[in-house]
Amino acid sequence: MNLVLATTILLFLTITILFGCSEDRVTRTGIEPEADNQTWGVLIYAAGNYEGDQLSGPSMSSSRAVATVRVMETELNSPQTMTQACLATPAAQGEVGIYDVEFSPRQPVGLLNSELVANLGSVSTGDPQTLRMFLETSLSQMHADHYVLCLAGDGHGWQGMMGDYNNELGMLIDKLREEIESVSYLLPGGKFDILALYARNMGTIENVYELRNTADLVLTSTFNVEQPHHKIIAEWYRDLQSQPELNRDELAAYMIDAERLAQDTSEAVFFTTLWNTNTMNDVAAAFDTHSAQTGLRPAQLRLRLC
Amino acid sequence: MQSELHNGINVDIQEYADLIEESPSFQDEQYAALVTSAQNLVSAARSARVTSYGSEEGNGHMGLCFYFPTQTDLDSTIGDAYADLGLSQASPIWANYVNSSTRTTNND
Repeated sequence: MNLVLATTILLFLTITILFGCSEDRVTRTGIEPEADNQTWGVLIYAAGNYEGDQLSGPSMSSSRAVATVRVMETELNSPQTMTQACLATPAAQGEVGIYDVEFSPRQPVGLLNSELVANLGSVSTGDPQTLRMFLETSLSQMHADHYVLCLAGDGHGWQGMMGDYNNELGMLIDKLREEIESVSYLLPGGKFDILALYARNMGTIENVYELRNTADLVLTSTFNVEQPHHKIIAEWYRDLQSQPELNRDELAAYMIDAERLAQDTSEAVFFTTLWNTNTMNDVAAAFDTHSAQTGLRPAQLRLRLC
Repeated sequence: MQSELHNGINVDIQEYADLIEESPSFQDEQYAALVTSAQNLVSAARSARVTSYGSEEGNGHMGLCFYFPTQTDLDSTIGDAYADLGLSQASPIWANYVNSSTRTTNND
């Protein structure tokens, strides 16, 4: 009798603890608002409505864009950070949505478990206005000390990025700059702490120079092959959740290290660099001088830095 | 031809060789100036680079290269767009080249 009673009490306590913890977890990250002020605001523009938005091998989703936001849903656990995502994927029939990313490890019935903050309708992620809508909507809800903006999707160098089926090239680099600079009034210091270009072909002098006033640090890669960006982002996002007090340079270091953790250098060809935008004027000036010294047409210049 | 510069950073000037040979106006002393300006460019890029990570095969561009507009590009609105970039403002010779190039379909 005592054994039955003890077993019953133990079972009751176990259920209470399990469900209680689960409820606390959901309540803390999913229902209650985040802390009034956050250490970091994370913005992810996941422009996946294009042909290359495919994952190879088994994963949480066949869409790279969906997978990118899903890793945030599964890793988010710090109320000191706030994450908002703009998601476009063929599965959404071209509809673009802005989500307030919430912790949720369970497999979603739809695209995500997070709350849909705004449905922008059938718009192109390559349209500068779409990016501006996302930035204005998300930043107006955040009160963070630091901000990181991740642009994940297709890239065509300075000719455009974040394109989709409706606008293959996406927005020109100067249009991208204009839209990011247009929300400077919503950012401490007038710019993002870190801008990460998770898109191919974006690691050029033109791009980093053009974006020099949008962020203190720009992370980008030169190569033209798709990288497993969802895995890379998952690595540093996990670090940020466990250490939300990271400063700008510390998070940037984790973002570079995430490349090491998520990719196999024996198989993948990639090279990602973190640029200090404050010195890009010097690079442009040296570039100009070099062009003049050669006496050759700039289009004939080839420079190999290694 | 590859000159080793600045702690192992290399500027590959092989690409220039044929063009230099073909250019009757190119003097030997210009070569030294070219190397110096290349060193300065590499140095500036090194200063701007905080850190990098990548594969050996991918290490060829230090994470930074620049776009090479072809004549086809220049003969189109793409050339106009490129000339409008901020880089052109800081790099007049580049802008002048793009702007002065003969274009056959400039306003197509």
